[in-house]
Amino acid sequence: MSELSAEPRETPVAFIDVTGMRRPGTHGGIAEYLVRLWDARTLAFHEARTSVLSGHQRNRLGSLWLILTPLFNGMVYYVIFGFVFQISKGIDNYIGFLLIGIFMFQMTSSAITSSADSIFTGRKLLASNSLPVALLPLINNVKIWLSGIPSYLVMMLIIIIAPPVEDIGWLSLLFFPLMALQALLMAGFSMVAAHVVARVHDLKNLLSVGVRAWLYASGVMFSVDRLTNAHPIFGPFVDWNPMHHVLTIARDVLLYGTVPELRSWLIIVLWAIGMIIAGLLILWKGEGSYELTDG
Amino acid sequence: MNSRTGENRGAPAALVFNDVSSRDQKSGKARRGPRVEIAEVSFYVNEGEAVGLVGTPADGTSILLRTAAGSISPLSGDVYVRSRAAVMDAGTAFDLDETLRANVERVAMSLEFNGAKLKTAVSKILSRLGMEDEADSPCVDIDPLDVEKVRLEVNLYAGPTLLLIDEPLARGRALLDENGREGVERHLRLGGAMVLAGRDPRVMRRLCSRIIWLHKGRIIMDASSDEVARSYGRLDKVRDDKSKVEQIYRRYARHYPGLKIITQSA
Repeated sequence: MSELSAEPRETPVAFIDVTGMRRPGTHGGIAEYLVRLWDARTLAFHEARTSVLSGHQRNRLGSLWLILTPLFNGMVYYVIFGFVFQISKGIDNYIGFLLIGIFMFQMTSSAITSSADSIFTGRKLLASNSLPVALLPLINNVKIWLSGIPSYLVMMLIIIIAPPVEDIGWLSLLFFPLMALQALLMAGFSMVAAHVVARVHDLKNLLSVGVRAWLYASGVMFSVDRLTNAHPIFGPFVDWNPMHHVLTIARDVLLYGTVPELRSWLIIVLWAIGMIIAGLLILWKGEGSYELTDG
Repeated sequence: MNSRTGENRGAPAALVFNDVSSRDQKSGKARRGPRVEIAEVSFYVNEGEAVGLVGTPADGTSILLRTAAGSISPLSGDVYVRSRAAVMDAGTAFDLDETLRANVERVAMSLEFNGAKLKTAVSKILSRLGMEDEADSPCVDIDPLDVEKVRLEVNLYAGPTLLLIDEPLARGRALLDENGREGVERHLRLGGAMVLAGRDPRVMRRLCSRIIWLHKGRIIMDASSDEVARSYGRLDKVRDDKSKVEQIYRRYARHYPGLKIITQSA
């Protein structure tokens, strides 16, 4: 220690040009943020695919369960509601009505509830290369679609082959743009849910209650008329509920051969675009402030 | 242009810590052991520079790296980075049950390689290290040193980044290996920067121009690699005598003049 002088030296001063530098965990402007999300697309699909496949790795039938589970679920609904209870609730083709309601709402609700905690559960993915946080709920959505597409195929299969048999016409092609809008809707709500739960984890518990209320306001198992007739206060909640319109359009084009109302499309488009923009902006603004470590 | 009183390092800064305090974010039951913090830490690393960070995780080395990577937000002070930060620590290690190729692909994807570029990157990385034959074996069946070499190569492949390395033994050996040294030199020549953290300054001495010594969350020395390694080595001689060890720490802490950083922006 002989090299140490008796008294500390004077504090040196460094003048540093930080032009072009950024704070870690932030990603520049929103345009750059979107580019980085796009650049991570292969990783997103890889992570989602790996997660779906590994979920069935220990099963003897492996990924076949992706088809079998919705098929058995569909058969149970068909037997219980079509034969045992013979419930129609004044609705034409109630089995088809119910399958569309349950399968399509389940896709949306599971995407949102499972994405809610995605920032914490997926944090290790971001730890190595400071990728955008929005990637985590989006990966979760891709995962839900990969595992959920078979349930849509089963839904269509039952509608086509199980009595009362429905003719699938050209109008049913509208189901594909509807799926695209549903995907945007799910992604937008998932990003907002991910932000909110990352901030206050307790809200995850309230989210499941909210999703349950949303189910009843969407007409999943019965017509929303029963709700709006019960009290006029429910009217706006049903009328502006995007999932109610998603299910209505799906039933119109797959079951009833009816041209869906333009207003229903517009409401879904408004919600989908609004929620995507809101979700992306919230997560972009929040970059660098989420808890991404084990401590 | 960065300048330090009596010193001008020339190249633009790649990482700046200006009076930064930070700590692990877990609280209550989620946290194991005492809270680790860094306090009033100021230093900078220029492009093309490799800097050692000697100390233990309990001294705050891991907190500092994670703050630089953006996975921990500083409580106070400012952190600036010029390029993407890539972290190599225990949390980002390869999955040993997966094949070497799958791990390389995954890291390359997280470095935002897609499509044909991804395939080219994976095959170039594996062939550069002569690891094509082992590519489809699970990492658990491959020499850990080879796995670390590949991991280093894939992180260097993406181009100039701020490489933040928490250094267990195998990683240090991978860095000192011929391919590793070449890779690091290429990385620095292209404008990348590196911070190498750990408790053994010997690897740092061979790779870094200077070493920062972190003790109990504060910098107690920031000097040339030789000087810090020599000073740190003195601790080993008195390691069993706690009072002497503390005396040395106190003396260095008292004599470290600190660094005042004034940031400018165009």
